Amino acid sequence: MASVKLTTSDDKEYTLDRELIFQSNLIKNMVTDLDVFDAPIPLPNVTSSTLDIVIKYLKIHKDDPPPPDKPIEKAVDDMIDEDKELMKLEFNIMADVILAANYLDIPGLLDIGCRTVAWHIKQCKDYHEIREKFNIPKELWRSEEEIAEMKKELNGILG
Amino acid sequence: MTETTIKVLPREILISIFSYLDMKELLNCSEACQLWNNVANDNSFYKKFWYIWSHNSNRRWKGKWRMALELHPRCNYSRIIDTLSVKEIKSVLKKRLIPIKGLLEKSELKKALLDSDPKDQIAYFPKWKASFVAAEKDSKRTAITKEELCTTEW
Repeated sequence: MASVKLTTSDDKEYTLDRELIFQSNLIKNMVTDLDVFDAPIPLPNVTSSTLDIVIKYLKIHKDDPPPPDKPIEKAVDDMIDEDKELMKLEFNIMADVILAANYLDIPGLLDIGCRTVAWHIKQCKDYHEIREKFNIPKELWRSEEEIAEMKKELNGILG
Repeated sequence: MTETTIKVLPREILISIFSYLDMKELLNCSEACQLWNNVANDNSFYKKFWYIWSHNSNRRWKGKWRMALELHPRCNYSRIIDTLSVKEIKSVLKKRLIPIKGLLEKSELKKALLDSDPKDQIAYFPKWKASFVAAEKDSKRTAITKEELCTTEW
């Protein structure tokens, strides 16, 4: 079976089966359009630790049928247990994985990443919890009046 | 290596994350930081949102994508009056059943709009968010007004 070589940003080389890595539309198009097989493809935006997680995902979904053209909206936590297990990550690593999925153009991984983040947001009661959970520093970009106004807005929605 | 946080995600990814949230969670997100606020309050976001929700959602917006995007009449526009076009003001006034025949100048239309704004509603911005919130709230209403009863063609 033909394979594809990839080099991550920290100079680690990976040799992967074509079938596996062709779930990434970026690599698929690169290889089929340019017809490069031997030269390693550099991935300057992806570290090896991130790529390890991506490869885990690719192995789980190796035998999936191709996704339909029109996306179907699923519930936030409607995913298989392997994916849930895979997405139990620190948020900074999760962000890296989502960015890598976006860059490599792997729609399935991007989707479960987004849904996992959405699920975590849904667990938060208010914006303080969101900040705490995602480690977002408190920014002073509103005046006191605006904060009061905004609190009114939030309460208005609940009422 | 710089630390990646959830904050660095680009707009298009944030939009797909936010499309899974409901109105209250979305407002919470918009308060978390400036970038999220920027994304979650953007007019284009609500347009996109409308598109996603009406196309493939199991919510009440499903299948409504054929309807043109219009501003909701039961909404307080006092904060965003300057961003509305004449056509939009006219359509809102029409839905509020206010005669617009004699009103020629834009300033007159604006005044009519402000006078008829529901005072009990909070003024949101930008316009599509305001309209969206009004529509979500209006869907929970259980009573029909006298005007609506009189003008509906049965």
